[in-house]
Amino acid sequence: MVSDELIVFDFEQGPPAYTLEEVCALCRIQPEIIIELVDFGVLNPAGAAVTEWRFPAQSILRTRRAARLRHDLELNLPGLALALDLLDDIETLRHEVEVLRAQLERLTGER
Amino acid sequence: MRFIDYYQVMGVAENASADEVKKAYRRLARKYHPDVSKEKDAENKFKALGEAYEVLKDSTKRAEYDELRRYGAGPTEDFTPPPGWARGRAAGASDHAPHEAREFSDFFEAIFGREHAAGGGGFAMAGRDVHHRLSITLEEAQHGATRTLTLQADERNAQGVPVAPKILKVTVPKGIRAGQEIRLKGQGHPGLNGAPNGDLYLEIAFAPHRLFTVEGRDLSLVLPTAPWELVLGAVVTAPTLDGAVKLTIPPNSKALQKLRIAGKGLNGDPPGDLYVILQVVVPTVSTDHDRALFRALADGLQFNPRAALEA
Repeated sequence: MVSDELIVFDFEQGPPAYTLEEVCALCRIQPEIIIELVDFGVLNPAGAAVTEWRFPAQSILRTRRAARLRHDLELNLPGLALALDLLDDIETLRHEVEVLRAQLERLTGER
Repeated sequence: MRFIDYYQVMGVAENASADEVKKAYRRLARKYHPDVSKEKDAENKFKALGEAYEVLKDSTKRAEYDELRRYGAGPTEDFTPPPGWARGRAAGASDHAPHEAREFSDFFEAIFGREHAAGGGGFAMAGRDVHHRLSITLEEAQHGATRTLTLQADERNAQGVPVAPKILKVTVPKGIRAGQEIRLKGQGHPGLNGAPNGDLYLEIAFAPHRLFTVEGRDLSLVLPTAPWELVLGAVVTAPTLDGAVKLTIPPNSKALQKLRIAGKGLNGDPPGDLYVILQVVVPTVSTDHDRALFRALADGLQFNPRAALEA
């Protein structure tokens, strides 16, 4: 079977493109939750009014992750916001350690 | 089919209280949640945990399971429910997310029935989205690629026959980066009773590369050089993802100095850069001739490598 539709969420190119309705549909989540996620600074759409909100593509990934965590671990929103921030930090640090370790191994010839 | 020991999955005793079961679930759910855990098998462990909790948190289901467990006498490879076992006796509404169908093991469905496991017959219910990590090489990211994926399906069709593994051809677009996702619409879990299928999301990860490390769109390369190449300057060949390039090392370069080759990182708009880290490799000398060369250097050069220690 060959996939007929392919969408790549391109995280760094182009302006924030997704409306609230689109994020809701893509993440299968109610708008109230998204509005709360914005209130807690978990998501940062461009635009002032809710109807003008435009979300960047990485919001899709983040919202879906938030929805899973919220549902599976029964997190409240402040806890969820904290968990997501910490997971981001861990991801950044983990990657940094990987890069540094790989470079160090090359420099010292310990591979 | 294999008998699943839900008590073992949850790490609780047979006589654990409902409260202990709930606590164990919460603790393990945090530990194995696929969004939190980097363990390779986290997704399956989390799924198994969810199923175990589905049974043990419900006193009716738990009683039925306990009865079976006594009959089944522990983990065995060829468990079948006893004759006359009424399927789905404990069927009842469950409080999992109402908007998605959930999949359970054959074992669960044999005990509690498929209708229940599927979340109640008759309702149209959208299929679950499926999330996988797809590890690709930097070369594949740079140039684009077509990958064939085999997805082991653990669901069954309407007749209860296991669904064959799904073979998918995925186009990895040129310039894709780690952390980005590819969505294949309708390739997730099947919807029930005419509802749409879920989608398949592939999160891109880069496999470690023999030469390059990645930060954002930039690449780094450790380039071995001879001491005199750094001192005198040199034009050397450096590998990139798009083939070898000539690199000019300026005179009096330092060990571990970084040189930037603009635009030779990962593709993008703008493309990333390639950072070349100059590593100094010292030759091992074994002949009088070679030793004489270094001796001349030692005698003739005013150089104190430990000047910084003598403040």
